[in-house]
Amino acid sequence: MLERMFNPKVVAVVGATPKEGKVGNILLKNLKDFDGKVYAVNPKYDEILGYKCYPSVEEIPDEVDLAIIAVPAEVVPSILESCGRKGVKNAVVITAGFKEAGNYALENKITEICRRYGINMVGPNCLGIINTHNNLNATFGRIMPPKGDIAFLSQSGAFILAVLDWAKANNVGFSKIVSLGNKAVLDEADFMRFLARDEDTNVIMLYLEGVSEGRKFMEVAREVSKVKPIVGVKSGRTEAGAKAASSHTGSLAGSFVAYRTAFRQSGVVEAESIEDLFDFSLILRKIRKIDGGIAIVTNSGGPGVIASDAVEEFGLNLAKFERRTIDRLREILPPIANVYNPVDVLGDADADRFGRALKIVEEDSNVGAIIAILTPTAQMDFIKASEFVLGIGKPIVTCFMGGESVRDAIELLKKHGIVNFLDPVKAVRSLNSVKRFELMKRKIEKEIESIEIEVDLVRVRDLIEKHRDKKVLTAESFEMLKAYGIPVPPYGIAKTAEEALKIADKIGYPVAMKVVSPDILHKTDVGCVKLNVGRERVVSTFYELVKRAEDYLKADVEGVMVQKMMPPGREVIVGMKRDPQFGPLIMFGMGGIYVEVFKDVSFRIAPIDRDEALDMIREVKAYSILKGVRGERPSDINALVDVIVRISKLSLDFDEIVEMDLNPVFVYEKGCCVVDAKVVLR
Amino acid sequence: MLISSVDEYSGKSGFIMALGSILKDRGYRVGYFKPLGIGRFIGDKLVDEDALAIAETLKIDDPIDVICPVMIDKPYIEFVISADPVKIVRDISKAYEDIRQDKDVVLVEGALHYELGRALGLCDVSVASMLDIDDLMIVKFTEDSVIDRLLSAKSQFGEKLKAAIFNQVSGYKRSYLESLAKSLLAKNGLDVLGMIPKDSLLAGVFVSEIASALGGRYLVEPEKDYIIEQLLVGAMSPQSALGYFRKTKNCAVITGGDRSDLIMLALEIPNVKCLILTGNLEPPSIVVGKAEEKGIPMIVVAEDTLTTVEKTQSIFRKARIRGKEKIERMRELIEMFVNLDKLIEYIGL
Repeated sequence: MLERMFNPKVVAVVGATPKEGKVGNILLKNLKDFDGKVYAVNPKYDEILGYKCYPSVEEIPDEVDLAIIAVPAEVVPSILESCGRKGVKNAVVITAGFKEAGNYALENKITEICRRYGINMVGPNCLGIINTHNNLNATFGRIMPPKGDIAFLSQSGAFILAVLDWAKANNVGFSKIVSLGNKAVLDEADFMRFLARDEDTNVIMLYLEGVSEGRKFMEVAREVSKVKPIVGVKSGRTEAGAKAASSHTGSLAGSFVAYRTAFRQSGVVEAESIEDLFDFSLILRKIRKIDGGIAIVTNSGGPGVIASDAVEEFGLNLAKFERRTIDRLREILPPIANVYNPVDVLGDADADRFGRALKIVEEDSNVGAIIAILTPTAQMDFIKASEFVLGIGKPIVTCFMGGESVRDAIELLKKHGIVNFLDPVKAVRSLNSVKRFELMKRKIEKEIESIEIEVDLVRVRDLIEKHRDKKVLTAESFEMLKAYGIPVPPYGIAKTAEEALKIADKIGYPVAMKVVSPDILHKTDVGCVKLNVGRERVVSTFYELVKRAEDYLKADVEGVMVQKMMPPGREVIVGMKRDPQFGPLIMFGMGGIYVEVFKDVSFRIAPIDRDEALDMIREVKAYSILKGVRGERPSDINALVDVIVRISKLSLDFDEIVEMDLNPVFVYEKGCCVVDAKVVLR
Repeated sequence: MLISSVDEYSGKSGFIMALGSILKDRGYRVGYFKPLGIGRFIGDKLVDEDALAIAETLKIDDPIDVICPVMIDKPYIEFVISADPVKIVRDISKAYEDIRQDKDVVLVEGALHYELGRALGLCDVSVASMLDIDDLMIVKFTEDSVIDRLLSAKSQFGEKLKAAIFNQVSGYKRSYLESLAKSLLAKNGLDVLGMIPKDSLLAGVFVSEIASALGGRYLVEPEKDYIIEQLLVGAMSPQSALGYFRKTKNCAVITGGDRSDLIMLALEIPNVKCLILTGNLEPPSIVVGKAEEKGIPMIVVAEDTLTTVEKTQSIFRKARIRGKEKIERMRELIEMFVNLDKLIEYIGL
């Protein structure tokens, strides 16, 4: 639907002016190389900079495909109305003074107008858009980047200016550039969807402070990642960053974990810095897959070792060479050279020796990608070496380390899409981004398996209605879990000591007793949980518990929960927090009192199928404990998978549930049981 | 009927407003009388705020100086020394006679607590015998030993006190109180007519009350004078704040004006009904605009967070029942948890 926005035949600049330095003037100048027709709109002039000028969009005799609007904020609504009447379907609103200035009402007004007329609007409060392939520079920046195949979407306009400047200096090309601005109508997902089909674009690069609609973003990203890579930086990861992002673009500080999880589940390669953003984007233009291990070929031992370390640290594999490769390398290299991976052709090597070694390594079937590392020795002819590199068919990156002496060679490589790094660690990190993309893509391509499980929706609906006023459900949460087929121990709530005894008699001994109170969240810490209670102690324990609870902060006590004492199992935690952007974020981790210290947890955004749930469990370090260490019997992982998918379903079925905390869940050789639980309602 | 309380801030006024409106709806002509008013200077006028509010709510047209003939207008001891007990008794009796005319029932509100006025010979016990009316005791359930104070009141009122209503009863305690009512209290000639549960809405305070008590300045005016039930101090990371925001109900968030991250997040949570920004720091306009759009009041105060929290908490301790929403809620609670037929019989209607 955005085809015409990026490939317009006729463009109108509304607010065009002959006054030097004004945005309306720069916009017009930036369109001088544009391959289509340009009109100016301003009631005060008949002609500006040689372009015919009309008093309004409606009076332009042509059909207008794109209106670029730079008029005062309060006039923007009437201009958009006029565009709507004229049938203009695409608009870029450069003007600021909307949401970012606190004027939400004005922004809502233009959104409404655009919706009414079906206008695709970029902005407001943005730098504009660029399509290098038809010389459309609809921005008020002064630089047009070289043509290329990377598209860049950014929530910060000023950042785009820096990128354009850098791109020009470093000869990095772009296909499309979009400054998202306030995202009043079109957001990142809309552009991603368009760019997926854009033939000029091979990689989509994102700078985001927040997404507009988390679920939409994930859905679109999942589809787009199947076609081409998306590399994204999400800023505002820390408290300080979130504070800055909220002040800058009013972004919502959703949990960064949710962003990271959303990126992973929808195939977006996360970059942590601007440098990574470029490195990953540049490498993913050409390399999408690494079939096999990494081979390192170098003329310098030190950097070869550094690269080997990095390969291991990023979880990639150094390729194990075939016998034939080793023999062939021995034939061409001096006796003291290392013929194993990393291959050291030695400091006295010339480009020919290096090139021959490269070729032999490439032919090894265990090698998936090559890192070629060269330092500027007297013997090395870098141009010649680059020619050898260009002759390699397998994925290859280079580390031509140095300054003046390697410059021309690097330029030559760049021209052919080979990325060079000064630091071998960065080369490996970038190759790792390929691996990450490949793994995510493989997962996305497998559809999420729909899960048929029997649950009692009506029961949960009733519970929610009944306890709507309560916010934090403790005892009632067990009922909910039960309704969704999640195993909980038999229990009852006692309001008097006599009732406690009656319940315990029914359940059988020993029992666990806990105070039910919305005011006490960490019951164990204040002595409000008693385990292994026998019949003779039920009454006195009841009184002890309510006395402790009342002495503690004068807490409101609803009663005492009497629960069957479950045999100890391995402790795990399953939780859910509804992220304001992405919805239910499901958490799995090992339990116990050190949980806060180790933070050994994994996350997914619902829906989660059984495979994904199993992955979550495998992802935590303590998985090996669940599998059984030193001859211990393994725990029932399947039972945990079951709990996770049921929690995923419960959280998708009921929007009202904003948090769930199943802690601890005891897992046994056979089966598992939720021993304590808490549910928070909206 | 005289309505007294064992402790101060027990909910007498709210009870009278709600009961009065119930009785009015049932067709009774309801009067209201407060023999000993607690005056407070508002501007240059001395008023008993509760008495004024009740008279207004129940649409009682007797003049306020008849409804509330004696007002404590100086510190209590000074008042005791300077007062003329004979005149006071005369004034009260006369006003009560005026008010009684054409009424089926007069709800007489006791002093702050039933013993106040003893130094003047005017505590609730004396008022009950002076006007020859029965007493209903409102007992706020603050702690278990409140029952001793109730029994002590009973021994002072004697036959004039035969019924009590427990207020703010919470949790499992109800079942124990019920059995106490059947045994000990019944034996002592006290009939428990109801147990009204604790209700967070009633314990809440209005945004306007907070704003005026803090001397704050509205950056965003409230669309509606929300009732705030809880306070939350935002000094944590947005991630942990989210958990707290969700667990609260109708809460006010106190945080620094520079915490845009928390403010933007709070504005997404429907539980948050007011933002109090400390340190005289105004957030960027994109943030203020969001609050405007959502209609959530934003108050900037000059003080630091600790002082602001202390000041706000002190308003909560004296939360009053005002406004349609709270009175309606109180009515519902009375209808649900008080034996109205028995109460009406006790009043003698």
